[in-house]
Amino acid sequence: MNTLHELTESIRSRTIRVIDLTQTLSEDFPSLQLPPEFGQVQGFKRDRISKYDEAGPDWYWNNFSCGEHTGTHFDAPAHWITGREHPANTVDTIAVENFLTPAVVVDASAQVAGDSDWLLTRAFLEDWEARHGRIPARAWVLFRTDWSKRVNDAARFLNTREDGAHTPGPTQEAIEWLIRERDVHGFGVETINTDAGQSFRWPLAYPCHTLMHGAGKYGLQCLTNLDLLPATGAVIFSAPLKILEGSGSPLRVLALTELS
Amino acid sequence: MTSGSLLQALAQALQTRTIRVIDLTRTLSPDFPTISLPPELGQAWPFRIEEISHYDERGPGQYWNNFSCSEHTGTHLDAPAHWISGRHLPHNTVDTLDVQQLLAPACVIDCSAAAAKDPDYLLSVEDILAFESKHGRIPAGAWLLMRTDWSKRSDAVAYQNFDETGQHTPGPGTDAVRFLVEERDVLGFGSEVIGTDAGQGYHLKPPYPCHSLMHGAGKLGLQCLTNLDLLPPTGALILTPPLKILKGSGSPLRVLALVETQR
Repeated sequence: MNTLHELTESIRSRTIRVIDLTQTLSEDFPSLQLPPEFGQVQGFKRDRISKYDEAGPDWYWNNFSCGEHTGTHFDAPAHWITGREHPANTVDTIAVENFLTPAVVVDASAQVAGDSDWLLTRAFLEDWEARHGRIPARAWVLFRTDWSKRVNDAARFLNTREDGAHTPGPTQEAIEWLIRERDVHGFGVETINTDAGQSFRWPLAYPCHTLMHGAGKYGLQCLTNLDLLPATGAVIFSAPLKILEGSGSPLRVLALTELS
Repeated sequence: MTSGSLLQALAQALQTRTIRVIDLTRTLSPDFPTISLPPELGQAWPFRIEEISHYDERGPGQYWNNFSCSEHTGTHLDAPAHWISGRHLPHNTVDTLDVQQLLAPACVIDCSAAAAKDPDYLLSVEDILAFESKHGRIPAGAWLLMRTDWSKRSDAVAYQNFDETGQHTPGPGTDAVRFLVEERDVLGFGSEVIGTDAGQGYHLKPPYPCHSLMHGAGKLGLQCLTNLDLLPPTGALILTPPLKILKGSGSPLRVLALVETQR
């Protein structure tokens, strides 16, 4: 039996489980707030076209609007100025093989529970590898913080104070190591930002955006259910909408996991 | 820690390209044609995009956009709640569909020659049985994709193909839909045109049989697909992840196919 046939059968028989890593897109989903001098990303809004009524007697449907970076979403390299010169740097031109990729899950939920500004360091990643093995090249690194469990309270999810957002993220050194030493596929998080909330103050601001996209790599934000994934062995399906020259896109992120 | 052997084999096959990924999605742009209904009915928005910043004073480090469209703009999925016949079914919206179904095998029936001759071509039960005699029985839970090469009509007028009597695009006949639902228990029906039903499907009994009967049976639709000519008749695995829109009737989406390369 070939691999694809076996995969198809295993999905059907549920020996491979499909896990939804996506937050529900609704008008309640918190959206990123930038300082007022900058352009703003729209939250999700919708407008009913018809619901089995005079505007469409037999059908129900809606129009909607949002940003490319609203809800659970994908960041393409062109989202950041460092990735602007890469070939195939927008969601419509990235080779589609990149949308089905293995992932490792680094669990820092206990650390983050005690410190919302907690930073993922190279040392923490090396310690993770000592337990789970080397992070394979071209794998997503998904940063589990359990932050997604705050989603029903927008204030706690954004966690913004007068001095900015307080959310966890990776250090510059950790990102440099993941790119240079591990050649990862990208970095995925449960928060609204692949970078730590306070990283705008660092010598190199937003290192995850700056360096990952500068290296032609990808980001995933507002993920959920990372606590249902194994540390290694999952394959992530993360295909953005094919928006012409899109810098990113809301998307449905699914994980395939194998029952052992 | 688990390290599943089948998923490892999948990752390896993707890397060595013994499994290829084919994009079945049309590019979402303001030029993509949108379904148009009689003016007294509510209308779906075409795709519109508005720049937030492009490495400029509005956001020096970033490029990004806001956009608007409908749940049924571009390459999109129809959930059962899109149609009145599916309104009371469980898990009938894109946020509640069983995600396990979002990866499913597909059978591709090539109707491109017939559709080239007759834009109103209706897929028949005979066509399906002829397909099965060559390629085997359509498995339960599989997509039935109707290849018409309609996606190659790059001009929007020819793609929509309206005249004074309405739209002229191919689709399934009522008997074919009934057969696929009742006798084959397919997952859904996919098409290259802007409706899963034929352009003249309003005149069939029931009107719009693919919408009415498929969604009434809890089945799905896919529209505005492309590259069906690159798929084998059987054996492809189709990935169809709609956005998780709260109570969404459908969604634009990226549709990908996995196919095993011949060795």
